[in-house]
Amino acid sequence: MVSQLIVNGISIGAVYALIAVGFAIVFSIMRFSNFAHGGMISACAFIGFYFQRAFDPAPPFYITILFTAVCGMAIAILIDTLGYSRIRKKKSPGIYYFLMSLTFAILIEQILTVFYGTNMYGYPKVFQNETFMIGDLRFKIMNLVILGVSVAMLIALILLINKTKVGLAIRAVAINAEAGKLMGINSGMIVTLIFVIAGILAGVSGVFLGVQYSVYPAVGSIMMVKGFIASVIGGLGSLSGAIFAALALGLIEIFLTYFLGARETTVIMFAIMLAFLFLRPQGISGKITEDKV
Amino acid sequence: MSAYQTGLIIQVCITIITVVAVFAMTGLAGMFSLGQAAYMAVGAYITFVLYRELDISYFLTGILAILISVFLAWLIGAPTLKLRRDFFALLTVGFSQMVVAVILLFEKYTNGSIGFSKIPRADGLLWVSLLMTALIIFWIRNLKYSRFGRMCIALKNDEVAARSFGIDVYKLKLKIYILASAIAAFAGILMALRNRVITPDSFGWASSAEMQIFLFFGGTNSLTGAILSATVLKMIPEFLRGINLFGTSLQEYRTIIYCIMIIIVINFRPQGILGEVELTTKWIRKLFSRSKDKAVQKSENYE
Amino acid sequence: MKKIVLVVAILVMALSLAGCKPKAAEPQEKIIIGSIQDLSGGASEAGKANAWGAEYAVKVINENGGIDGRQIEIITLDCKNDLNEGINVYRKLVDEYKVDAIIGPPLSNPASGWVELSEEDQVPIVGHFADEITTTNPDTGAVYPFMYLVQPSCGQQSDAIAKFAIETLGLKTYATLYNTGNAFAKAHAIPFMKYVRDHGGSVVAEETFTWTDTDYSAQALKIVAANPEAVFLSDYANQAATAYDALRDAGFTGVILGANTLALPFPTLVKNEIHDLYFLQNYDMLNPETRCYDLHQTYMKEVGSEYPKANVGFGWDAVQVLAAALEKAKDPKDGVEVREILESTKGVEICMGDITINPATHRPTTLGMHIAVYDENNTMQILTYVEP
Repeated sequence: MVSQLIVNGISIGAVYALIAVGFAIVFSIMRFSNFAHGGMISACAFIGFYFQRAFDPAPPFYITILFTAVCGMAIAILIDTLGYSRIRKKKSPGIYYFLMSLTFAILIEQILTVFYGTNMYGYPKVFQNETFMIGDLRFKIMNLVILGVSVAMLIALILLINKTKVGLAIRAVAINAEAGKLMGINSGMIVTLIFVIAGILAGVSGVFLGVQYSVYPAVGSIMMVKGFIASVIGGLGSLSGAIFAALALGLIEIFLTYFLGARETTVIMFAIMLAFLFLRPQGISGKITEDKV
Repeated sequence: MSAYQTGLIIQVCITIITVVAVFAMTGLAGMFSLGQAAYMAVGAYITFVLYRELDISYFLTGILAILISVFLAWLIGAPTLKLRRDFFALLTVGFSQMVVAVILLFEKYTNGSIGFSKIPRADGLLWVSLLMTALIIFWIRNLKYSRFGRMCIALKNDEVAARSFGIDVYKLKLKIYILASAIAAFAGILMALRNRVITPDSFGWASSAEMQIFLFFGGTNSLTGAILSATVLKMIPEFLRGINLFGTSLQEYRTIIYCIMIIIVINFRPQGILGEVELTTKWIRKLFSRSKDKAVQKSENYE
Repeated sequence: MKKIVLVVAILVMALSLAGCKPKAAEPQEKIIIGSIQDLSGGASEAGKANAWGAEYAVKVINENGGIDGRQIEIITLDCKNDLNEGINVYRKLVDEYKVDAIIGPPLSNPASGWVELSEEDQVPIVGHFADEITTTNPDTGAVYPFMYLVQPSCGQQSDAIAKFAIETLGLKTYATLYNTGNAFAKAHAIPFMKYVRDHGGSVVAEETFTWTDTDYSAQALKIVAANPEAVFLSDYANQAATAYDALRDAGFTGVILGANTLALPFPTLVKNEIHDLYFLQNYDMLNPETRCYDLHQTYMKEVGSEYPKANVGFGWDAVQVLAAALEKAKDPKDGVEVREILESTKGVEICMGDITINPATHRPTTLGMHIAVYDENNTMQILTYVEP
């Protein structure tokens, strides 16, 4: 039983990790919490659904993922252009970024609710057999796919940031955008790249969530709060911290729900987050948490 | 005046009260919180659950509820106000969801998702609402122009500089946060009395977000802007009920319209529609004396 | 510039506070009824169908001469699946449009706000708000005089499927999995468990989740470990689909019972195969020999829907019951008289059958529920009918 719970916990954790990283990446570089990430996830869940349904027979799953990732990218860039670019130029105080991202989150969710919320959507089945057994343990194929893709993407991302020239530029801009410009880094393009990455992550998360569970407008923001909790515990600004925290979160949530019940679990999860903030605000990995001084 | 109109006015009053509280918190002290609706829930639920369980007047339980809100605000605010602004904001979202979860957890007393409906009728609610709205506006307005208020504005603009002037930033923020939560709790009680039923759905972070949107629309620095924005944006959906777009009433789009308006406002006029404009007594006097002097002025202009 | 802004601002404020002038009262000939439905928001698919059914019923009655020669005017307003809005539109209908009665929505949330208001304003409300708390006071058991439910209540529906499971399927051990944040789900799950326990069965597991949970695998695992013969799912279609998948994925091969939300397009929402699934239905909508077949066909054609919606029947039924009472009344505009007649409703023909209202609870006594299944092609088939 416990091992089954562990399997399930890690699967959920993988999805949380994707979301937490999408969130954390924007935070590390742009220094603000992109609430709109949740909205992008919801929108991509819907887009993936329509894409799958538009062709008969349904296209291979990886095509859907690719398509949705591209759409996620487009949406992210759109949000940046419409919302963040101007306030970035004006060097507005941080609170405007947050309000803008919040507004976009609400806007996307409302658009989805008004135009698509009335109907119910389920992704068509992707695999013939949903589960298979190894000994006593039951594995859902979809969970393994999600785990595999998430791990692959995260590894790719970490390699990108730490081992490539582009990654170096990103890290430079994260530390000081102005100095980066002085050194010849096109910080505008770096910012766009960051949103591209966040958008791709949102797109993939959206499809996975839609397939695993169900497609409805609020799915993104609900998951985003969990992703945020993972980022907090992992330490905002640290990618690997966010990943580990997300996996841990998935496990803890499953175990708590099993042994205590869903209602208690919700309360406890937030209490854990608050506790972390009181005791170790920099999270597990210990990075930025306070305002400038 | 029909009960419909009375109800509408009370609803607008409640909105004004909550937006004014948010003004004190965000406009004066620069804290961005999405947890105000949670304090409304605390105020409403504690007042009426205790009223039903213990059978005491809801005036008394109401006061207790506000005190509990204050305590809760202190509990939540004390450790979290030191953190970054957006961090704090997301925390308040979490807090909001936790309050809802707790309401569902104690469903034996709160009736959970079905809604708590044993709220008695309060005669004269209209006058109480109008009176309290006026009082709270007056209170916050005085706050803005007092020394306390000026310290808050200083800290909002630049915390570092404010601190260097000897202002205890942290204590100030905490005080305002607690104040705002008390006002929100009271608004929650009013809302409960108006609707006679409360459900946990009305108190999610989306309601708090709506308050912030109203505030930013009117202008974070303007109390008048906040009041105006709350009134207009709350009343307009009523007037738009009949108009249709794409086959559904325009009302369905109202949140979308608000969001688009805010995006436009922040992009092109971040200080809000009213910006720094405030309604002051000097103005009102000037307005009324203007008509008298208009004739004189006009002739003066031609010289 | 600033002064102009100020003056405009004051004018706008004054205008807003002055409120809208009430419309002049309608000429006395017409009977005016209000219809409060969820035309937007999460429940709008059902709400719009409900509204359509009610409006169509009124149209048909008017074409046949109306009530004692008087035409009915129906005004449909949107309560947006929100308690606050429900009260707003109620007030608008009663104060501005001066309606004589109201057709309610199939959701209990907005309705629970009207229980005392309807008595104060003496406006009868007839609808499908199935939660018992909208018709009787949960603490005292006293009935709310102006509220009328014309479909079996949540408790009655759960009893029906529990009875089916115990008597027809012969199952003894049960479990429930439901959303505690959803009043509808709870109002089904709790009576179900009570019925099972009172009739010799046992509930081996009761698992819950909330709106913010997306993964129910832990709960499903617990249920499988308790090994019940059947699990009852009482949520809205989206959550029920996720719950169904979670159970099957966790290896549950037993019977799954559902509320009436598992109608089409439920099979398209789940990933697992549908087998051993029995769920409640109010109407037998696909059988050409039943009463309201034509009604549903007309709806599907006019609206362009692929499958029938039970809510159309709801709207129709509510109007039928109200119209029957209005017809008997000497003064249909007298709410108190209409209310009294509604209380003694007997044998009125509606889609669900012939309805008789129990005066002590204002809920029907003669309506049973159908049990439906999905066949190999995932078409809905009505299996049997459970007597009330």
